[in-house]
Amino acid sequence: MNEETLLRETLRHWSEQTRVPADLADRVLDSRRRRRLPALAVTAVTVAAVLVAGMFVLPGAFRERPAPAADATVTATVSPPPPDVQTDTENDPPRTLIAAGQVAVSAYSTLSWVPTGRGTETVRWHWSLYNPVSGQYEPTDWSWVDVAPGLRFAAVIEGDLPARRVGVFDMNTRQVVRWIGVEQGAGAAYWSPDGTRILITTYSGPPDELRWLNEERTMSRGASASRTGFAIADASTGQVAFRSFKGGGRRPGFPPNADNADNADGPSGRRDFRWSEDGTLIWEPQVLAPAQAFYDLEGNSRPAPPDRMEGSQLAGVSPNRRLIADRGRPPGPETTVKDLTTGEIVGTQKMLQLIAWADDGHLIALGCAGACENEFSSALMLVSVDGRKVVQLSSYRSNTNDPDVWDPLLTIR
Amino acid sequence: MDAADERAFRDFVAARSPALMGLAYLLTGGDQHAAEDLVQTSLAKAVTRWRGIEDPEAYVKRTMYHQQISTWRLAWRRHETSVAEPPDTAAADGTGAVDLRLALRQALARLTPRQRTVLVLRYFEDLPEDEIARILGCSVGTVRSTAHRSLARLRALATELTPAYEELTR
Repeated sequence: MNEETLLRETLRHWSEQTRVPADLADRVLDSRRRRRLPALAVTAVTVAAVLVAGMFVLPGAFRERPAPAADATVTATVSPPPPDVQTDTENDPPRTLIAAGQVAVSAYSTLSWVPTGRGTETVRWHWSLYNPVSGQYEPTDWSWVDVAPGLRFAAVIEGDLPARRVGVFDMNTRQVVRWIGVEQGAGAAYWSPDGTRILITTYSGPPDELRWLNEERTMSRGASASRTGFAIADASTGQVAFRSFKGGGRRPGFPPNADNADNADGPSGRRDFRWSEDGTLIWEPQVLAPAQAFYDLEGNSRPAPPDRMEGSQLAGVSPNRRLIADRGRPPGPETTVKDLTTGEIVGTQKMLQLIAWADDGHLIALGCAGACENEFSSALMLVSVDGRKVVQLSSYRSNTNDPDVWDPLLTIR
Repeated sequence: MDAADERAFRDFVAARSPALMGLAYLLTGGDQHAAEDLVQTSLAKAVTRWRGIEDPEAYVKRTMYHQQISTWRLAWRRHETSVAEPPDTAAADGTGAVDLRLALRQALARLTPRQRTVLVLRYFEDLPEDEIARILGCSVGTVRSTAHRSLARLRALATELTPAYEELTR
């Protein structure tokens, strides 16, 4: 191929990798209006000063929650898919970026069970992380990955869990720009919704260690419940505050290792803390209702946020907070979207699960292959709220029940 | 700016933002946030004199080029605007157009911003050399020599990433 032609093609392809924000005009016009309001000038300058100061902390600086990439309209009629849908339906696992609207597959993982030498086994995750420069997913050695909103930084942990430090990894330069020491032992790390802090759950022993109780490996018992608390780290400064958390992850009244009934998060002793939707509280899963127990950032018990909606689908409430994803009628596959206020069904989709909202009119879903003879053969789909428009985003995974199968990490981009 | 101007501005941004973002993405070496900043800043300049602009797209693009040039001239700014670095090991397997493009993209990311901009203006924007010289504030000869050096550097980097590059593009 002629080099000049190749260069032209490469530039054209690369330029198409960018995401086009839907609110560019608003950003410009809003900032102009702010500048024209003298009464707000002091506030605006203060905010600008804080933002500029922040820029020197880390290359590129952490952003506020990225704006949705697609137009926000609630509709049950056919609407065009988000303008920047990227698919890879040919490779399993995917090779190039999968994204639609505000959501991207920022990484994916597979897992394997490894013996500990104590008659127990523990999980080892294998992560492939998106590289914005190459536009591809690349295998990594990290044992834990969580990608911050904006796809610029990832929180990473190396080696066996729990580990003594958490890294802030620049996805562009492929370098760890900061290590955060966690002497209590980091077993999980999650970015706050605004991408500025990392919530680290600490464990004194391997959080995923378990003992199989039968040869078929269908029954297991967590080797120990070793959760000791949590730490919140400022990603820009590396400052970290640890809070011990009594109870070790066990719900009062349950004896240790009673058929795993004490554990809502998995078959082992893992019981991670997660951020609330607005990043002001944290929560842990519970076996008995309510499914989540909320705490403030000091670890004090708090009531659930008043606007929290408990849904049956991971996607939850739409970005404009008018719709909620829900299950459909059996035998399925079927999912529904309901009006949050009235409960009325505004759309039905032939999907297995609704995983995330791409925009207010479309969702990322798990869809069956063919006529859904096998529910474990599924692909990521983009589906409109009314269910009429479906775009296949990934290849079909032959058996999603298999630990070897890749599991996507979806992140707001 | 009255309501009609605002509507026209919104229509322009809705219609042309994919092209503007694509260009900004290349100029910033594949940095999404820097690209958004570049487009936003340039649009903000355009909106202040919206009525007097005959060709908004040309105006915004020219502002983007100049903004990039200003960026190079401010040393501190170079640190802030991250130029994406490729990974240590290339994922390409050295065969096929996709792999060649991948190697070339990684090589482009390793060029200096000025080298990359010259190639973007020449091979993406298809601008003639005299127009590029006017934008960059240099002579046509300098544009020519910069483009020549940039291509040579690009070729060397791409060959380093994918040894078959030179042979396949010969």
